[in-house]
Amino acid sequence: MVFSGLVFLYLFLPCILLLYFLWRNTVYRNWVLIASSFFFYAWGEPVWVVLLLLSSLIGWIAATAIGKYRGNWKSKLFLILTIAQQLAVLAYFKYIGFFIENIRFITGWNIPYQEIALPIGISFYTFQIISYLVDVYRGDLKSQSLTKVLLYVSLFPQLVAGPIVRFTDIEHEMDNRTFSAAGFSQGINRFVIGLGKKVIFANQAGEAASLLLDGDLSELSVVSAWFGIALFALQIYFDFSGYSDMAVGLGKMFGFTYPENFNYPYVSRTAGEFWRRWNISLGSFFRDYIYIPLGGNRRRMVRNLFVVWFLTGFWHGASWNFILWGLFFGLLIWIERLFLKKLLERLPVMISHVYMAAVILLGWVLFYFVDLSRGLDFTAVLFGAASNTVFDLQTSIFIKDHLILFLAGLIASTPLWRIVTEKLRRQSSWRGTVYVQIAVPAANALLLVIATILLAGESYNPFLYFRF
Amino acid sequence: MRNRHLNIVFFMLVIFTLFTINLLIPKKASVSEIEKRALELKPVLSLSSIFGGRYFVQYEDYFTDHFVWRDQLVEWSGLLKKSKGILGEEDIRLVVSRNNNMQSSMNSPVNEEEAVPAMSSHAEEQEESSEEEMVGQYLVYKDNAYLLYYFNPEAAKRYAGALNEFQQRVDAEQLRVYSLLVPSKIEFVGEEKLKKLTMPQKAAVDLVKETLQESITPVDAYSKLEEHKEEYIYFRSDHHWTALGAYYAYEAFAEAAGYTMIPLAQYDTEEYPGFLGTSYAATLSTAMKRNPDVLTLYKPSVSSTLTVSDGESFIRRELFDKQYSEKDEKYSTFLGGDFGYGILRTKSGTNRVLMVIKDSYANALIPFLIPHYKEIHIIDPRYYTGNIVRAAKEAKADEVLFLNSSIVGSYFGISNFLLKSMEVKQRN
Repeated sequence: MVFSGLVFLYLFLPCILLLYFLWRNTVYRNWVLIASSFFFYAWGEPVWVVLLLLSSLIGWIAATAIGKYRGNWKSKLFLILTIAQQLAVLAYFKYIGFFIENIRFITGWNIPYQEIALPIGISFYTFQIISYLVDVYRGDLKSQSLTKVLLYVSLFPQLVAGPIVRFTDIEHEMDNRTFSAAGFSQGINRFVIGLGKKVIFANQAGEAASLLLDGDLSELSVVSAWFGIALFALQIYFDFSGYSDMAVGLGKMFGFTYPENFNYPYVSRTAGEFWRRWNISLGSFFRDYIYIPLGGNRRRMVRNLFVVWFLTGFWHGASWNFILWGLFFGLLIWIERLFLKKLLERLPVMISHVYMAAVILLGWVLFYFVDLSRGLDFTAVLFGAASNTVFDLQTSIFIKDHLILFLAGLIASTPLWRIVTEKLRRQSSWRGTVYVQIAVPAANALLLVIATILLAGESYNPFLYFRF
Repeated sequence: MRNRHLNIVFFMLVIFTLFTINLLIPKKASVSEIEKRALELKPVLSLSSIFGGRYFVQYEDYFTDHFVWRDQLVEWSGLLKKSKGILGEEDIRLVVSRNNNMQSSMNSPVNEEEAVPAMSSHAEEQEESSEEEMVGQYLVYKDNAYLLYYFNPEAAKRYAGALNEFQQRVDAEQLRVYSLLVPSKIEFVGEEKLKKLTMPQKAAVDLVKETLQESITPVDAYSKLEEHKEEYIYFRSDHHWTALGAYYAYEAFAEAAGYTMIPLAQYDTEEYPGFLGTSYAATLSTAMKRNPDVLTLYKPSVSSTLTVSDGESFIRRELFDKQYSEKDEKYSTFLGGDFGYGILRTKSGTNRVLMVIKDSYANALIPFLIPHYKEIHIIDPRYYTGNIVRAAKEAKADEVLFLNSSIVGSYFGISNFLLKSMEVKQRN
């Protein structure tokens, strides 16, 4: 089940809201959340919901032991064993194909294995459990009851697609949640914005991007190639940040304040800044649990950078192109640290933005094309190195057909809209009042309706009987 | 009322209104007319369906397919999506319809729902299928939509090769083989700028002709259609030709087969307006909707009976199945749609037997052949499970007409069906 779906919006969510607000008791409400979160997960993974449960149980038991023996060598043992177990499970479900393929490539051994579908959210909840264990080990946190652990790991707003929440982020709110109209209303705002981002921008941009990027590359004009990868840049931003918005919004509706996961990454001026604005919870996870323990900036920085960026790329997908994407950013960040950042600061801001546009788009090329040779072919088209036309009738039609979507998406990916709305809100005149009191609620309702219409449209699947 | 309360009220109103309505309304419709598919059924609750994963997937499809006001919402969705660009009706639009049209793949997931947006869903490998996925690109211009043509010389050669195989296996003394290829409407489109976007079908037709054995007679329907391209020979909202277009191809066939054709003026006609066909279903073009097609039937004066085999027994069918004339998608009126094997017995008074091995284009042409043959055996290799060579011999056919659209010059599907039917080992 996805948040941006009719079943979630008009079946699951209303039921949860009814159940949750039926009784004011926090223990009751926590159990409603746990039960509904497991149901939500089981809907998508009726078999591997067991894995979620088991991982949480193991995490709970291990943390209790780690907390009990803190200071003792046994504490560290439990930590290492459990982390190894969690990673082993993740490695098995997500990376076994990758490992075996590479072994086959290097040695020629043909190890038979069964392709497994990746259980949804495993990359996220595994990291959450690990962060919990380490925090307990470090003494930042006491070990928690089973209820709390289950609630922390399974909470459905953030279970499937992040953000990666730390236990300390929501520790207080687990026991202290009082309903406030302001909070709930804020939650609605974020949720609806996220829904709009996903259904209006991400889905449409994605459809358009794949038309250009998945087809015959020899037929693609240079301009179409750039337009295609730019559309993908919009798609992936709105998809991921939209989902994070929905997660934050839903969390808020139930009284939880999640950390922000995106902060307008496309206005960044350096690659370093980009990663402080993109998938913030992942970046801080790697910083706090890998980079700094390894020595951070102080000791063996280059090695640490390599490890962190290798893993960042690898986390995104079990394929070499993702690893290269991560390393690509690692390399840039290192170069920026050496001299490039200072250089860019002295040059006009425009140069930084052009630099970042190139970095971002080329990064997405690496990210999109799992088949590296196809990615190379595509890059050749981008730089006119292949024998493709620069611009043709098809390109003109395509751009015109997506111009508004593209421009609106571009603007929406910057804080421009927020600056405008803030100015409106601050106005003490009647305009400000109208805006705050009526326009926002009306706009939210409208967004919800538009998203519903588009979602219904997505179910349209004509059987055109072209049986050839 | 403060804005936060209004916000909550509006939100809850939308969510709970649609929740309640969906819960309360009875699910009446079971078929989507325009999509030509059955709407998903409510899944049966069982342990195996849950743990197999089918239950929840099916439930989502069921819920979405039966969502209240779905047809209206789909239409509005189409309108909304227009605002993503600046193209008007006077402009050319390209619409891609990537629906899986192979019946067998209706069961395989078309869109893998990736709940994790960070992982790109395309990273999952696509099922390597032996069937080619047909991604049809429609060129939408004003109230017409044209499928772009994609020419694959290998496909054209394989088609001709299949016909050659057939010819070798039958007795050339007794049986004359004809090949008729129907170009699609984009070949004759008027505006030059539209032509630039597609590949030429003449090349496909010519390549097939060259590759065919001498003893097979090619029928030049192409020139006839080109001659009459200003007339209403193709539907706007459907990928098929009209009966008038079929008539001109019949003219070509009559010349090749050596008999005099019946002039069109001698036919009584019936008209059914409000025809919105496959191109409409794929593009949902509002311009098309405002100007739908008219289905014109030319009623043969010679009577005939059509029986169609379902594998076991023969069932009576109408030459023109009027139940389809009442609906939006009217082309299936001709012969009642496609079937594996059928026999049209006529009161024409001749004793010639024809076998037509065909796709859906032939359905509009076959009625014109009735006065010339005692029996017309009709085979669609996509559905026929027998051996077409044996069928031709058993039917004691004097002539065999292979009638297909130019799509055989794009994809291997039909050629493979033909070869399989003749039990020819295929390398691919």
